[in-house]
Amino acid sequence: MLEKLNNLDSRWMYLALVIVLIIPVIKPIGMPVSVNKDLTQRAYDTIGALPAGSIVMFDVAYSASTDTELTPMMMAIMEQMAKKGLKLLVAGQWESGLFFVKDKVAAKAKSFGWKYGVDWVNIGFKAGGISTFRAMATDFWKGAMGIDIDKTPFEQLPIMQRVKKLDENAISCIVIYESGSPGMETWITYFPKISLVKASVAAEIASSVRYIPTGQLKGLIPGMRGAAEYEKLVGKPGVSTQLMDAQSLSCLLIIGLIVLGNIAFFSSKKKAGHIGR
Amino acid sequence: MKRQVPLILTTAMAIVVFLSVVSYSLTELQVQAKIDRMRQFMTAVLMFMGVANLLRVHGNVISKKERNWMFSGWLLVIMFVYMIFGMAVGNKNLTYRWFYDAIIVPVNGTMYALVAFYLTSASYKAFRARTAEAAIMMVCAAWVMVSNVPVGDFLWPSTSALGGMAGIRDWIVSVPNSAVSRAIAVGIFLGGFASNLRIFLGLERRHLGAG
Repeated sequence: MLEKLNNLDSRWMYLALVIVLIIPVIKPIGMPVSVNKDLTQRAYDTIGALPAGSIVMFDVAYSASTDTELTPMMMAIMEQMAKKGLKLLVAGQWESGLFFVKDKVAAKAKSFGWKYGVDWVNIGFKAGGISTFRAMATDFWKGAMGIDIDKTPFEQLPIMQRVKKLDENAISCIVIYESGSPGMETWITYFPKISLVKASVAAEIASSVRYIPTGQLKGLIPGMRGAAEYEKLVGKPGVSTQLMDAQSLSCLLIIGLIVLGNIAFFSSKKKAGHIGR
Repeated sequence: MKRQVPLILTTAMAIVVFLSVVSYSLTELQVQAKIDRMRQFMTAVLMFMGVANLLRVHGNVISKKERNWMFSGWLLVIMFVYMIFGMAVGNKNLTYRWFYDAIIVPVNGTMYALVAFYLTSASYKAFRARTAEAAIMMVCAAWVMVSNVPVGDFLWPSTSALGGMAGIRDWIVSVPNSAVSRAIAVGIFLGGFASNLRIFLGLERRHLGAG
C-alpha cells in the first residue's frame, strides 16, 4: 500500500484535478466571496472617489495566457467607471496585450454607449518601453507619435485635447493589469504623483503587497479571487465569480495531495528506520 | 579602437544621462526627454536587429542540417509570412486578427493552464517537510492558498477571531513576506547599481567582448 502511495502515477492526480475543475462549473456550489478590505476594497474606493469626467488610464501589461484572471477585472472596473461617468484611455506596455484586449474593451465600451474619441480612446502600443512613457510626461502627443491604435490622429479625438502631458492633472488614476515585466515599476519610479491601482495575477501578489502600506499602490486586485470580489462590489457577477468554486476545490485537492504525499514520505522513512536521523 | 570607441561612447552617454537627471539647467532644457525620444527610435531599430539575429542563428541551424532543423525553418517561415502579411494588410484585417485570436490566444492560455497540472503533481511529489524550514514554508503556502479562495472563509470566517484564515494570511503576506520582499528588492537595486557603476567607470567590458 505504502509502495503504491509513494509511486502514485501523476496521471491520477491530473484526472482528479480535471474532475474538481469541471464539476463546479457544471453544478456551481455558490460559496460566498468576502471582499478583501486591504486590497480590493481600496482599489474600488480609489476609483470610486474620482470625480465624474476624470480620465483613468489602463496599462495593459499582460498577454493571452492570463486572460482568465485579468480581463474580468478590466470589465468590472469599466462597469464602475461607466456608473461614475469616468473617461478611459487605454495604453499598454505589452504589445500582445493591447492587440488581445482591443476588441473586448471596444465591445464593453459600446455596451455602455461610450463614444470613441470622446468617452474613451485606445492609443495602442508604442515602442520604446519606459523611455516612451517618460517622453509622454513632457509631451504626450509627441511621445505617443500622435496617433491611436488605428492610426487616427489625436487632433480628431476630442478626449486627447485634455491629455497633453502624462501627469496627475491629465490622468487621475492609472490601473495596470499586470502579469510580468515591464509593469508597475514604470509608474512607481517615474510617475509617483499619479494614483496607481494594480490588477494583478495571483502569483505576483506576494511581491506587490509591500507597496500598499507605503501608499505607492492605492489598491491591489489579487488574482481571480480579486476579480470575483470586484464583480461583487460593482454588483455584476461574472466569469470570475462562476470559477471561484472550481478554484476552491482545486486548492483543497492540492492541500490533500500535500498531506497525502507527506504521509507517504514519513511512513516510508519510518519503515526504513530513518526517522530522527 | 574597436573597444575604445564603444567604451568612450558608453561613458559619455552615462555622464550625459546622469547630468540630465541631477543638473537643474539640463533638466530645464529637457535633455532627458530628448534622450528618451532617441531611445524610442533605437528600440524600434532593435526589432530589426532581433529579426536579423533570429535569421542568422536559425539560418545556420538549417544550412548545417542540425538536429530538429525543420523547427528552425518553421519558425522563420511563420515569422516572415505573418510579418509580411501584417505589414501588407494592417492589424485591422480580420484574417490577420484571426490568426492571432485562433492560434496564439488558445495556445498561450493552454500553456499557462498546464502549470496547474504540474503544480498538482509537484504538490504530491516535491512539497515534503524534510526540514523544519520546509515545513514552515509548506504550512504558510497552504494557509495562504486556502485563505485566498472562498472555502477559506467557509472554514474560518473573516468575521471571527483574528480575522479568520484571511486575517492570518494578511499578516503572513504583509509582515514577514513584505520584509523579505523589500530586502530582496534593495539587494537587487544595489547589485544593479554596482554593475552600472562598473560599466560607467569602464571596469566592466564584457559587453565589448573583453574579459
